[in-house]
Amino acid sequence: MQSERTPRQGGEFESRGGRGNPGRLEALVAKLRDLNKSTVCFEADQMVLEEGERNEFVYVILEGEVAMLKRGDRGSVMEVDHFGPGDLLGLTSFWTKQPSFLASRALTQVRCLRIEANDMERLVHRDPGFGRTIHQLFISNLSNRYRRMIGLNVRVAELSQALKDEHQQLKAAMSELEETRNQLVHKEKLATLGQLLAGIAHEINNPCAALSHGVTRLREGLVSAFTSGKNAEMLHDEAQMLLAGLDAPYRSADEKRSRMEELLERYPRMKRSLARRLARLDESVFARLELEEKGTAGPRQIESIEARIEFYEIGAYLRSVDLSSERIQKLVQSLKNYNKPDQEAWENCDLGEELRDTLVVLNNRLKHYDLVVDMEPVPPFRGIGSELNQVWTNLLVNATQATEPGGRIEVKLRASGKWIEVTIADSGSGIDPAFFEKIFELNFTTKKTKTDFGLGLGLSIAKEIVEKHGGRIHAENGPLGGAVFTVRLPS
Amino acid sequence: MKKIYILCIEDEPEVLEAIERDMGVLEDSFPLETAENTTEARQVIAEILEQGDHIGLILCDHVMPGENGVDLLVELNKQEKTRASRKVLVTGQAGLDATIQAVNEAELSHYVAKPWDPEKLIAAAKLLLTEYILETGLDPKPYMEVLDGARLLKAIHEKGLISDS
Repeated sequence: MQSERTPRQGGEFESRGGRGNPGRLEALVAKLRDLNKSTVCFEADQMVLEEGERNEFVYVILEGEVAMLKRGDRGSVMEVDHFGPGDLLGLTSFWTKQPSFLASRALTQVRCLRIEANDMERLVHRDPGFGRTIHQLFISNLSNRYRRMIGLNVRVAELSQALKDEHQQLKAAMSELEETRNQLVHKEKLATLGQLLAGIAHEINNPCAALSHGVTRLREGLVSAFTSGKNAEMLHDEAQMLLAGLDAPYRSADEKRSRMEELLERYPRMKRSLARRLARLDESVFARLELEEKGTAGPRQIESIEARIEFYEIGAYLRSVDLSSERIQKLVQSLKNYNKPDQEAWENCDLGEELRDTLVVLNNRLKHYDLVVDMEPVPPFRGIGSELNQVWTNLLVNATQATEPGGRIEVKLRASGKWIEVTIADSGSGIDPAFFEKIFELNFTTKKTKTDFGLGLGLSIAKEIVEKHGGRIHAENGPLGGAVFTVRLPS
Repeated sequence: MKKIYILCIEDEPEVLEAIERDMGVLEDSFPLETAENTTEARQVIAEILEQGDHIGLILCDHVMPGENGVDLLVELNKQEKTRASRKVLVTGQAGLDATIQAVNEAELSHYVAKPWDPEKLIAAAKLLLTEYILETGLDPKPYMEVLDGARLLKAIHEKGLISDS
């Protein structure tokens, strides 16, 4: 056994086999009187060597413990090695004459041999036995240091690999976290948007309800004020004009244009502004005005005609307000239907049943069409029912908008291989091939006139919902002459 | 005498009627035409030009079935006979991009946000028609009363168009 000290850990790299045998050293010291006087002692905490200073001696530790210290780049001092009996101090600086690379400080009371360069030469020369022993000591000491250095390098390599692995794992965890966070933010935004939408829908709904109510009462009030206790023939002409205006028919720009042309031909001296107002009137009201043929009407008659038309127009304005408030209400309703955050739950959907529900809800639109429903049983589909209904609703409403009443609308449900397929075809005007790409884009619209959607959102919403369910939506022109929309959902 | 038309393009019937009523006050000087979509608008424009008349002012909606209003205005700006026509975008939902395109490519003269103030719309129409007449060199005399008379009069003096009477 070389010493009483707790052996250092570290396996093969920490072999202390090279450490000199203190017993043999003591024998050497006893034998060589000269060396005896070279024995020096250090108290605990006393510096043996200073880093960066020249060193004239080599120290052989006979007793005690010494810490080897190195100053770091940032000025900190760390203990890099630990020497005990049999170890040599100052070996490199003594041999190379370079300033000491390390400092050494006694940890306990230390007794060691201090050999000067001259003594060394003299002793080696006088006693070959001493020379052998001292050289063995040097070599074993150096090889020991070398082994430990390699051991440290291996340890450093292992540690840095472990650090790298941990870094990699940390990076993966970070990006996963970021992804989750983005999804959360996105969801949160959508939820906020939904709440905002619901709030706005509610805010619009209230004044709109008041508006609609007011218009209805105004209309009823006007009718009853003019007609109470009288029959139609007894009404003032103005009242009749106003009541007729309340039911003013819609005239397209084209219709109005041709009626204006007709009027201007019949009454060449009539002003265009008057012709435009007359063109708006429905036939019976126009007849009431009893315009004289060939436009011999004097300024006075014109004035009276204009005054009478004015009553009709007041009625027509009221009707326009009524229609517009009705449209706002429908729009708000479709906003509310679209936004049902509470019902967003994935469930097993019976697509056939839900399609039928949607057809019932849309009955008032669809009853004007030759509706063909052809549904085969399909396996249950895992999805959000209310959202899928939105898809069918949007596609069916589109079909009714693109098809003249009396046209044909076909709804098909099929299970084909890996897909459940819903097809909605119409015999309407079809899709201009130039727009195939654009129809699923936001704000694209082909609406004609009266619609309660018409925001150009329908198909883009449908696409988003279908894709969320892992499906595809596709548009083409079909055998009925109109558009065919196919939704494929994974079964 | 060649007439100068005002053309309104809007697909919503109630809205078209509202514009029609507002622009109607100018009708006896500037005949009005209306269209519910861009296809109808093209037909109307072709008919007016065929008669040899002018289109002084075009009020156009942005979002309409099939083709949007900005595309039509850009197209009209490329055609010789409608290049000088004053072009107005009347819209409730044109985004920045569409508006930039209208300004840059259709040389948009004016932008009207829905809902609009009828008086301001009429004032803008009068201003734009005055500009149209001055730019195209049409005879301004019939429009002195209804448009910006002072500006038209100044132009008459500058061009020496004033008559001896």
